[in-house]
Amino acid sequence: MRTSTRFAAAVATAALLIPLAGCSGTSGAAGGDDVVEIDFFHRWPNEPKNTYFNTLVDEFEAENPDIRVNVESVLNDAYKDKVKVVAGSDSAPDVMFSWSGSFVEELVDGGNAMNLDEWLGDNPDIKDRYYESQLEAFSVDGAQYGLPIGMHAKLFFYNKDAFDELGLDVPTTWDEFLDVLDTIQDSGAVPIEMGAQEQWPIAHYVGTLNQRMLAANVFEGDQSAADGEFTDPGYVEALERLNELAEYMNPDLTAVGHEVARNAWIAGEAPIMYLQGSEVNYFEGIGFDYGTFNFPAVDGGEGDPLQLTGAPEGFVVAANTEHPEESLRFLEFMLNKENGIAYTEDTGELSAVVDAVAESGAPDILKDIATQIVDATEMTPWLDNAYDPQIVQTYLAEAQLMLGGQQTPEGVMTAVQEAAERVRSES
Amino acid sequence: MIARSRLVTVLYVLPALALIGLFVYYPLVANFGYSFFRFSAGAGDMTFVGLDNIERLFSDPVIRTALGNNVLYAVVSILFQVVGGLIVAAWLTRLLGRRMGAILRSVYFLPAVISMTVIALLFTFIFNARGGLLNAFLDLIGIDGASTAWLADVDTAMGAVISVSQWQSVGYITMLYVVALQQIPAELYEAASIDGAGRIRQFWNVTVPQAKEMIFVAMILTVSGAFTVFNEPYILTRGGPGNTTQVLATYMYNQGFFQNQMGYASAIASVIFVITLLLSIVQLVSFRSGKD
Repeated sequence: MRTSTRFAAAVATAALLIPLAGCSGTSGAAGGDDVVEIDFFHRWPNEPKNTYFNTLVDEFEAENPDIRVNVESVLNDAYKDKVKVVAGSDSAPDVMFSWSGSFVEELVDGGNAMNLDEWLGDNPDIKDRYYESQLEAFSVDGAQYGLPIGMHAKLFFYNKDAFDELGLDVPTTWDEFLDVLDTIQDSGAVPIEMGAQEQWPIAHYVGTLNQRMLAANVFEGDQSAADGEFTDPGYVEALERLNELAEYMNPDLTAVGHEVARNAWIAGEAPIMYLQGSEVNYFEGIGFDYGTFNFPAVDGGEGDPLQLTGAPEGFVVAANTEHPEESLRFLEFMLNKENGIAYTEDTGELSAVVDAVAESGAPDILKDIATQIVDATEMTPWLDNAYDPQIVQTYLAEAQLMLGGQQTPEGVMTAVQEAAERVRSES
Repeated sequence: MIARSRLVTVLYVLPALALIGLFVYYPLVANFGYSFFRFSAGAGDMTFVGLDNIERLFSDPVIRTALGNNVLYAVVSILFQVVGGLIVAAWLTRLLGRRMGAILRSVYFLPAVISMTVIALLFTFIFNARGGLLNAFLDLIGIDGASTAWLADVDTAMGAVISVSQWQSVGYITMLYVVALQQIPAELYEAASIDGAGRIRQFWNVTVPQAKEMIFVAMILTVSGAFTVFNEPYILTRGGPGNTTQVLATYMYNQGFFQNQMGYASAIASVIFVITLLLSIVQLVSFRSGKD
């Protein structure tokens, strides 16, 4: 029954769009003086970014009276679902938000994202604007398909006051890390705050642990849908390390969401939490001094311990856009240095434009994180961006059960291997 | 003459037929066709994979979990809504006074007019592990150690989700029963009580047989509802923890729009359709509706 209504809805929507498409075409022309309309689709209907992008669009329209930008936005998960559907349709938005990694790859595989190489070749100064490591995350098969807006990295944030009180130093090795955690636990506090009710925070731990544990060629090899096997024993060991850390986390971790956990950390309930740099935004009124440290090296791990986990997000232009020139003009405007500085100041995100963060009025901790990202030997992609969504779904669902005590590390990897086998057979 | 009137009939029926054909039957048939392909929501090209998706249905452990959850949903819904609803309706119409009955009827019906999204969000606060209302209440009445992460614990999550549906739907089904029970002639109850039947006997021998048609309707509504349920588990748990609260519809959505396996999602949709169709046929036959 549900099937029929769902498809009926799809057909009905499609039927409605046909006359609508006709309308917008005529009204655009009737608007006079050849005003071109482009559609802009992002994922921040919430503040402060909603206002930021609306202001940006107003400024752009003032500078370019011949272009009108229609903004549409839906939040995070809904965006993931919706963009997959609209990107392939004739009414695809001209400029749309994209995560790096598998998300942009999927858009490219579907033939929905425009190859920007020719445009960037004609305008080399645009390409030089961004940090190369951030630009690279949007290149698929050697061609550039998107431009980065914000840099992201995951770091352990720690309560300096609590660390001082217990005489603790920032750990760099696994043993030091465990010592720190033991000391905090012995003092009667929960060392690490974690919210794993949603699955993506689990992805960040597992992704980093995998990178630290595995040899680079294994870690990168398994990211390919055609060859990924996930048979290296390092994967199981990485999950065992996560179980080890879970002993030091709040016992109700699978029952609390990430935001609740973050608020508990801000309230000082646990001294350590694994957070994204941009989350500094939410720290208003925090009652203690805080600092950051990178995920420590893992004993016996073969991966580079100086890598930082995180990936930029950015924008792509639709492959079938009717107004490529205007869309690119908007993309260029949105991601120029001036707006990069404004983006950092207004939203607390880290602009991927070279020196934008340093020249902005952002707090020192943000500038410090930006430097860490730029200086990192390499960025480790988010686990949920690195693999095929089928593998991601299985990996995270099973890892969540593991944290709830209902699955073993070996069991998780067996399920992942099965999912990977299916993905291999399909590619 | 006859031919002409038939033509007119067809003409009158045609618009409705075209709409139903376009919006109900065409998608249904197309969906079965899609089950034999592999394709993603964004890309246009489809790969024919034969029976792969169908085979996968039988080997996929999550399908088993989801189906089990749907069956559990159906059983609990029959118990609470079809059976419980009838008892509540009988109580409202037969035992309570006119005034009290009318007030309580509205109270019971109230949840049915609130959007499921709102209700589900409301219940996330009630079931919340930290400072949730339910845990606070259990603390208050002194049940120690009963604090549970209702929606995050594999043992309680599905029960918590199902209970929300019951809370919302009992009132609606009760309302349907109330309408049916009001049609029962009072003489039947008088005659029964003269024959010496007590309240319970009256319920079994008068109310139940007289409300048979409505019981049948309630059965179809709740059972097909239980196999197509989506909102409650999607908003409350998104199928988690792990896949323990996945039902067929949420798993279909997850496969189609998250994992980008539209073909497999279509196959799951076909399964949902076949199940609800079979159940409806079974119920139609066993109740032999409209014959008495």
